[in-house]
Amino acid sequence: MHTKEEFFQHIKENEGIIYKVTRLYTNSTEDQKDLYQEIVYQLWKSFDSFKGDSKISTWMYRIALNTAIRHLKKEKRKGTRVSIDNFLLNQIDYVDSVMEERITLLYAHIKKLSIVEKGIILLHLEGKSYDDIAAITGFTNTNIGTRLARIKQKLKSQIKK
Amino acid sequence: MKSLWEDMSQKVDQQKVLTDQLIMEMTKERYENRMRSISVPETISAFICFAAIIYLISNFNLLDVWYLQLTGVLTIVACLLLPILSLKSIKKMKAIDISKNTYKESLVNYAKEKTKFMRLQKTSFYTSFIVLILAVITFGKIMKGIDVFTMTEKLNWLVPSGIGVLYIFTQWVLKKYKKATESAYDILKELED
Repeated sequence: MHTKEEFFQHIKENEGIIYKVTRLYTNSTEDQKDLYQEIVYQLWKSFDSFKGDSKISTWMYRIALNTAIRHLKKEKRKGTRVSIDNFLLNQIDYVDSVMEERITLLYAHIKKLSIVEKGIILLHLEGKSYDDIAAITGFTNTNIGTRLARIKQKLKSQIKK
Repeated sequence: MKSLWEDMSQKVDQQKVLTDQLIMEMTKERYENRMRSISVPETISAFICFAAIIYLISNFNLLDVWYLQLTGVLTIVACLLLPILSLKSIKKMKAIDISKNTYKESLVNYAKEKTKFMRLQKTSFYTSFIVLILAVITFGKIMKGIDVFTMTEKLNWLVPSGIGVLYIFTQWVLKKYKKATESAYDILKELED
């Protein structure tokens, strides 16, 4: 049985994961805030089932990505999310403008990829090993290698245009 | 690309903006919203359906012709089945354990559920249309004493306009269905590659 404090600690240590996933899978700040809150909620809901068989970050990526997919199904969000509005806006403001511009462009290119490719490239950029990517995505190591090569090629030609 | 991503990650990691209280508020708020959004509309529609059933049963004697009795029975069945089916699908949805699936499994589920959802929407569209007609006939007789089947003059324009409306909406529903099915097929195909 995990304690509430342990949960808070893990979330705070890995909050960057949630931010990056939400930014990649949404197209508006409003939607991003909603997905952010949903991921935190799903993590909290699943925390008791986390047995420590994998790294906490691997578990978090899995939940965050699965939640993002489920989020795609919903057209309109319900309920309030007042409490997270300000802090998310701050998180975006902290990044300097030149860098933000480059990051926005990078996200724009990744967003053009298919939903399957998006998840794989995100994990790759996050520095995850093939084994970790395989554990999170369910693809084999060889398949990940093939897909990554294809994705990189696709991104290169997108950027050249 | 990777170095830019790493720089961004570092910046994001440096900005520890979450606090215990904020995390707690987020989960609490979402949990309460979830409870509200599921229970309120479902309870209201179930209540309306069951009130309609009671009303129809207590006035069933006013349906004096066999075809009106038939529409009455069908309306009662629909009012009984629709909330049960809806509650059942919500229960199924709530039972999904998001932590167990891999990304690939979630995508397969997403693609399949997308098709299933559109199929359900298509079915419920036709069902609602039929239920609406049944309800108009049954309640028309009980509340106003009107037997729609004997009003040939009104039927002359009601039936064609009803078919027209149904046709327009059917086209729209089918278009949406086709689009959703195609995109789901694309995902499944890509996963097989």
